Formats: sequence, structure tokens, C-alpha cells
Amino acid sequence: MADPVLQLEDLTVCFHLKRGQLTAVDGVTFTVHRSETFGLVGESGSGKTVTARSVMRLIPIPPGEIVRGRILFEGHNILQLSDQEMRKLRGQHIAMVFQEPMSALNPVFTVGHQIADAVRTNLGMQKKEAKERVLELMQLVGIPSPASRYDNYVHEFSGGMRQRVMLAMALSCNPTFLIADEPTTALDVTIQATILELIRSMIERLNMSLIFITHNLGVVAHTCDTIGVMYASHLVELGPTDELFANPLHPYTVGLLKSIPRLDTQTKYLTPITGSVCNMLEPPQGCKFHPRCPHAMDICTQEIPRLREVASGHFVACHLHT
Amino acid sequence: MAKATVPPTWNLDNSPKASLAQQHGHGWHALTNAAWELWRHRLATVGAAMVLMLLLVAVLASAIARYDPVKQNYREMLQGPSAAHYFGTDKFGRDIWSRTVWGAQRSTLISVLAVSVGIIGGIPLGTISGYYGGKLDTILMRIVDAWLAFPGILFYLIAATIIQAYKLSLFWNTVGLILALGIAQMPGMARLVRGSVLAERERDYVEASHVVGEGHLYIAFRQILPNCLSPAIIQATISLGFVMLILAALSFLGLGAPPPTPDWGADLNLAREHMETLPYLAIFPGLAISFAVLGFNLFGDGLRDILDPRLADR
Repeated sequence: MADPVLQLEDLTVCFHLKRGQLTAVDGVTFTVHRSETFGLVGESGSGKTVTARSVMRLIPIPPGEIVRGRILFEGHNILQLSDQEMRKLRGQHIAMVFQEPMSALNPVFTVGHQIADAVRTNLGMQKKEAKERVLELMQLVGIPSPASRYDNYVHEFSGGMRQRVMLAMALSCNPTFLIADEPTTALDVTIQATILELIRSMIERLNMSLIFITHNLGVVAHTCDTIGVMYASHLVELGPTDELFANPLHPYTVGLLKSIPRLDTQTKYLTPITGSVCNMLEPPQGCKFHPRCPHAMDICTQEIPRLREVASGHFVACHLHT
Repeated sequence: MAKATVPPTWNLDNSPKASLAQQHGHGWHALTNAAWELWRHRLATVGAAMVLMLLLVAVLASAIARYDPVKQNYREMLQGPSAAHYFGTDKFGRDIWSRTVWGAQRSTLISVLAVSVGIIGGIPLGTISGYYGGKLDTILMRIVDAWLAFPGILFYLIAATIIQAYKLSLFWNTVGLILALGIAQMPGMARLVRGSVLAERERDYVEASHVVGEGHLYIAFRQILPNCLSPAIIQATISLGFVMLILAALSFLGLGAPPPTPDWGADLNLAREHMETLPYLAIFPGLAISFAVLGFNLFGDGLRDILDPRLADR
């Protein structure tokens, strides 16, 4: 576990929009180790997807800009790679699974053709060889009778099967690192569980590291070793899954956990977090969460809290815990 | 409580007829819509048949034409249609049926090649402009704007006059015409493709292609472009008819092939002086032009319905 694969250091991403400057990711720092699964949790607009896209260098520049920070993948700063090196990295070392498999696959090509394309681009295989590899991959991700599905188009697959295709494409070039951006959000609950299970077994089998992005705490609880919670562009809490669920420290994490129904305790009413997410174009001074925080103090309105280690491996950015 | 008397809103009848009725409402409206749809598809089929016929005639010209189209025969001048000469003969005694058939080959060949030139130039231009965007797009599209703003007929006239002035052989004259007609098709095609690429570029699969490490040109031409081809195909089909019409107009003005090349427009011009006494001289080449252009237009409209279902209801 001590072998860091991906290190984000003080990553700050801005978007220069017509209405003003929006800081989507502000000073995010975390490390993902080899064969670790890292869950990135937060509500829509909290910056988790932008964080993941920065790692893939998929932020459109302009209007986006990576203002500060480094992203180290196996010791190399991703932000300084040439386009050529980045292409190699994307295909062969880091792969990504998207939320909406229907639109992330090309509608005019057969599924087999598309996976084979990826295989041929990255592994330089011949047509026939590539086809064998694709059939193998389709088998691996649990697509029944791959040979007959090879020549089907995306619209002929169900949602779950599409996500399996997506996964086969991501795994096609033996990546060591996988980024899954809400891979189960667009699926039925029952399919969600099988896809989650599939991703988990693939990670284990191929000994990969994973960043799992979701807004569903229940999903990360089962899947991830470590969890980072994001709120309004900041990483507010970071820690091992068990520790975080047992002993949440940041008022936002506490609020999130309180707003989920639980089967093991008797609760009549859920406690929602009051208020709504701040306007990211004009964020509040100090801690971004203070307008909604039940424990807000004077200092919270003035100073942005820094991420501090409060227990072994458990970090929190809150003035309550200093 | 009173029992609900409202009939259920769902319909278990899944037959195509039922779904058509559901789509278009009920009663008279549905009927006219269905009739319209049938009619449209019939027209498309008719268009396809006309195009096919034209292509057949063009390919088999040497077998169908019964006389040499340029050979003069002063013993059989200005004859009306007969068993020997289906469409009659002109003032040089040339068989009009043979000239029309060879004219079909010439028209088809020129418009197919000209539209191909337009496609070969326009599609890459539009794809690159749409995919890379930014300054490059602005520059390329302003060039296209200027190009489109130039009056088409003027361009054709100037080009044809220049070609004419050089007194080239028939082959090079034809090549020149094809290039002139083709270049004029490029900006429209580029504009069309750029529009679709622009919309398609934002789709997730483009990002997914980046993620698996594919290069820009590969993504632009192999991933995005195939999704943008249907409007280009429709446009190309309709352009075929348009180019034929322009070609006939240029030949009519004497700016086409040097005589005695069989050519619809030139024959039409030749028929002018006998218009009042021997109208069939003008009718047959004229009909041939109308037939070809109508065929391509109907076929193109039909393709639009088939390839672009979003436009079908308009």
C-alpha cells in the first residue's frame, strides 16, 4: 500500500467564463496508492469530475486553466507531458469509464469494431489478432456469447451491457489505473450492483488502482479503501472508509451521513443539510460550507481551513478540528 | 365512489398502423398524414428509378444508340420521329436519339465527377474547420463565406469563357468544366459538414476516443465524420441534379463542349431556330434534362427522409 501511483498536489483549476471566474477545484491534494480504490464523493458541481478530468488532461483550455499544482503519475508530472506522451499515457496506463455509456460509444460503428480500434491504436495489433483480443475482453466483462455480439451496434445493447462494453474498452490496453466517473448513475439499481461487483473484481484481478467518482455514499462504502469528500471545490475530508464512516469529522460529511436512511438504527426522520450549495461564481468568504454549517464560528467566515491530519490517515479541513 | 368511465389512455395494439395513428393523432389528420407519407416515399422510389434509368442509359450508351451521334447524313435531315429515328434527326441529319443517349453519358459523367471534386475538397475542409475550431475555423469559414457570396452563375460563365478561350481539346475542355463546376460545390459542402462536425464534436464518444489515446486526425475523420455523412450524401445527390442543370445552361450558351459533341444544352440551342416548325428538336433534349434533374431531386428528397428522420415531419 505504500507505493504511491497518483499524487495530486495543490491542484487548482479555474474556468474563465463570461460571467466571471469560477474556481472548480481549489487546492486539492491526495494520493492514490497501487491497487488502492479511492472514492471521490460530493454533490453535483463540487469539482469531483473536474478533478478526474484534470488527471486525464481533458479540461478544455481555454476556458479552463490549471492555475496551480502538480499531478504526478508514477513520478511524472502529467501536466508537463507532450501531447504525444499524453496519448500514450491515456491509452496504455490510465483508462476512464464514463457515466453515460450510450453517448460515450460511437453510434455508427459496431461495438466490436470500436473496442478493436482502441486495441489496435494502443497495442499495434493486426486486425485478426485484435478481434481475438476483443472477444476475450468481452468474455472477461461478462458479455454473453461475445462472438455474436461483436457485430452489434450500441443501440442494440441494454444499459448494463453498454457499460460492460465501456469497461471492456477501458481495459483493452492493460491500464494500471482506472478512473470511473459515476459509472453506475445512469443504470437501474439492480444493474448498478452487478456493474459495481464487476468493476471490483476487475480491479482485483488486474491489480489496478481506481478512482471512483460518485455522489452515492452507499456505493463507496462497499467499493473503496479510501474516501475523499469534496464540497464546493475543496477536499474537506479524507480518510480510510471504515474510519470515515465510523468517525466523520467535517460537519458536511456528518450531514451527508445523517441524510441517508439506515437499516441498522431506528430513525424516524432524516436530517437534511439546510440551505443549498453556494454560488460558485461568488463563493462565500472563508470556509465555503459555513453558511450551512451548524457549528459555524467567527473564524469560519474569514479563513479557509486547511486540510490537517487528525488521526492516522484521517484528514479534515475544518476549524472545529485543529 | 363512482367507477371511472374514462377509457384507459394506453393502447395495447402495437401494429404499425396503430402506432402511425398514435403519432399523428386521429381521424382525418391521421389519414392525410399517412397518405402524405406514402406519397413521399412513392416519389422517392420514382426518383430512384429515374436515376437508375439515367445511369443505365449512360453506361450502355454505345449499345443503345443506333447511330454515330456526330455523323452527318444530309439525306435524312430534319425528319420527324419514326421507327428508324425514334426522336427524329436534326439539320445535319444526325440521329437525335443517339445524341440524347450520348448526351446522358456526358452529363452524368461530368456531374458525378464535379460533385466528387466538391466532396473531396469540401468534406476535409469542413471537418478540419469544425473539429479544430477557434482561429482556424474563423479564417476558413470567412474564406467560404466570400466564396459563397460570389455569384455562382458569374463564376461559371467566367470559368467557361476562359476554358473556351484556350481552344482546348474535348478532353481538357471537359476536365476544365468538371473542375469549375466542382470547385463551386466545395464551399456549400464544407459549410454543411462543418455544421454537423461542430455539433458532433461535443459528444461523449469523442472524449472517450481521446481517453483511449486516439489522435486528433483519427478522431476527426474516422470517429466524427462518419456520423456527419448523411446530410452530405443528401446534399451531394441534390447537387448532381443542380450541376447537370448548370452544365446544360453553359452548353446552351455555347460555353460547353465544342461542337459536334453530343450535349443536351448544345442540342437545345441548335433546336432554337426550328422551334416553331419542328418543336420535337427541342422537346427531346429538354425532356432529358428535366428527367435527370427531377430524378436526382426526388431521390435526394427521399434520401433525406430516410437518412435524416428529424426532418421527415417538416
